[in-house]
This record gives sequence, C-alpha cells and structure tokens, in this order.
Amino acid sequence: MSDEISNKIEEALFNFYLEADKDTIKDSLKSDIQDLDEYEKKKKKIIFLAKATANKKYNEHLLALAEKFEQALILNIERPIALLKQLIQGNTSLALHHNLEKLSKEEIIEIIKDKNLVQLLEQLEENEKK
Amino acid sequence: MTITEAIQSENMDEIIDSMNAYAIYRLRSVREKTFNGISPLDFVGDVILKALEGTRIWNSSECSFKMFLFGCLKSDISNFFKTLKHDHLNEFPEISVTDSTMNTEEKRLQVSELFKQAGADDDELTVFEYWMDGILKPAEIVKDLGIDIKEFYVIIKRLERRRIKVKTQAINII
Repeated sequence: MSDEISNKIEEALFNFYLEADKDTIKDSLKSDIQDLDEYEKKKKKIIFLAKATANKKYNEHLLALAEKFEQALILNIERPIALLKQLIQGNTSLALHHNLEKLSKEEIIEIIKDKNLVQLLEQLEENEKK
Repeated sequence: MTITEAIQSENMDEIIDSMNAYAIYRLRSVREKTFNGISPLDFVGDVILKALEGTRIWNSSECSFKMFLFGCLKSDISNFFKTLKHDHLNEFPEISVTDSTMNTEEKRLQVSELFKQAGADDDELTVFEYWMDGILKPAEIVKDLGIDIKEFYVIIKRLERRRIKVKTQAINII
C-alpha cells in the first residue's frame, strides 16, 4: 500500500488503540486471544516484575540521596542542611532533633522518602556546581 | 513524575491490555509465520522493562506515561518489521515496499474502492475519508460526525479487519 495512505491508517489505528476505553479493549482481546487465563497470568508476571524493578530503582535512588545528605551534614555544607531543615518542618518528632548532624541515614531516609526525589537530587546537584 | 513512580501509580493492568491489543493488530499479518513462541505480549513486556532500564527517556511534561509506552511499542514493532523486510522480503509480500507512479489522490480512490469491494459500508468509508484528510484522532471524528464513541469503535474494528484483506490486494494494484 502507498506509504502515505498506509501511514495515515497506521496513525489513526495507533490513536484508536491508545484512546479506546477499557471495554472496547477487553472485547478486542477476547476476540484475538485464545487462552485468556494464560494471558492474564503472563500479564500479572510482567506487572510484578515491573513493580519489583521500579521498587528496587526507587530504593537505590533513595539510598543514594540519603548518602548525599549524610555527607553534607558531616562536611557541614550550608545549602543541603538548609534544605533538610526545610523538609523536617512539619515532622514534629524529627523537628525535635536540635543537632542535625546526629541524624542517622535511616532518619534521613524517613525525611526524604515521600518527597520528590528527582527534584531533591537536582537541588543538591545545583548546589554542588556552585 | 519518573518512570518508576508511574509504574507504581498508573493502572498498569489497563495500559498493558491496550498495548497488547495494539501489538496484536500490528503483528497480525506476520505473527504465525515468524513468532516461534514469542507473543505480542512479549513485545509489551520488553518495552516496559526497557523503559525502566532507561533505554528511552520519558519527559512527563510532554506526554502521558501511556502515550510514551505506546510510542516505544510502535517504534519497536517498526524496527521488527524492518528486520523482517531485510531477512524475509520474499516470504512477506504484504510488507513489500512496492509503489507506483499513481498520484496520491488516485491511490486514495483505488484503496477506497478496494475497501468497498471488501464489503465496507458507508460508515467505514466515511471514517476512511476522514483519515485520508488527515483527521486521525477518534475524538475529532466522533465530534464531527455526532456519533457515540462506542459506535465509532465498532466501525474502526470492522475497518481494521477489512484492511487485512485490502492490504495484500492494494500492493498488487497500486
């Protein structure tokens, strides 16, 4: 088929599958997959593996970031410490720590774990450049 | 948002279903001849793991996570076809690069006629014309036609099945 015509059809069908609702997709799969139980099992495995990999990556990032903050505390670097102070505000139990340098890696992880890690890393790296 | 966060928070079950439906459609013409036990779902799983490995970078401010994964899948399947073209050109006439001296408008009429001969009804031919006019988003066509989205999806599925028949014939004519 002519490339131009074919490309338009391809693009339209790409949009269709991207935007089609859940029921339409389910109907489509029902008519195309012979063993739906097997499909569901395989899909669950993919999701499990993806989430496990994502978790592992997240934990690695979290640990790397905590180590950066820990290092900043040891070296008494002003900006990361200010950032950490800012993050502690609102966390009553941790705010009781008057000596930030005594924070353990686990406590730092506790402070940063629900925050935007990418943004925090960018802020630290920006500081390192200065 | 990062890929790892998106994997945790998005409805991966539904995203994988949609991606798999798309992969089945794209690979339909070659699947039994070449797959040797590899399913369209394997393509989908590969795309997700590659995304996690950082092979492709997702900019969340530019597109949704689902759209990013769809784009990666489209690209992987296109690369797969390129390899097939290279290795098995004679076995797969439907993916031949044959073209003719006809202009686009003539080709469009020919293909439309082929759809008609293959049994396409007025609704299908209307949607085909929208596509040829470059209107490719379901929402835009539905709005213009004033029909229900579900009704539109049914038309598309019919048109898609019709296309399998037409594709091989179109290569012989155009």
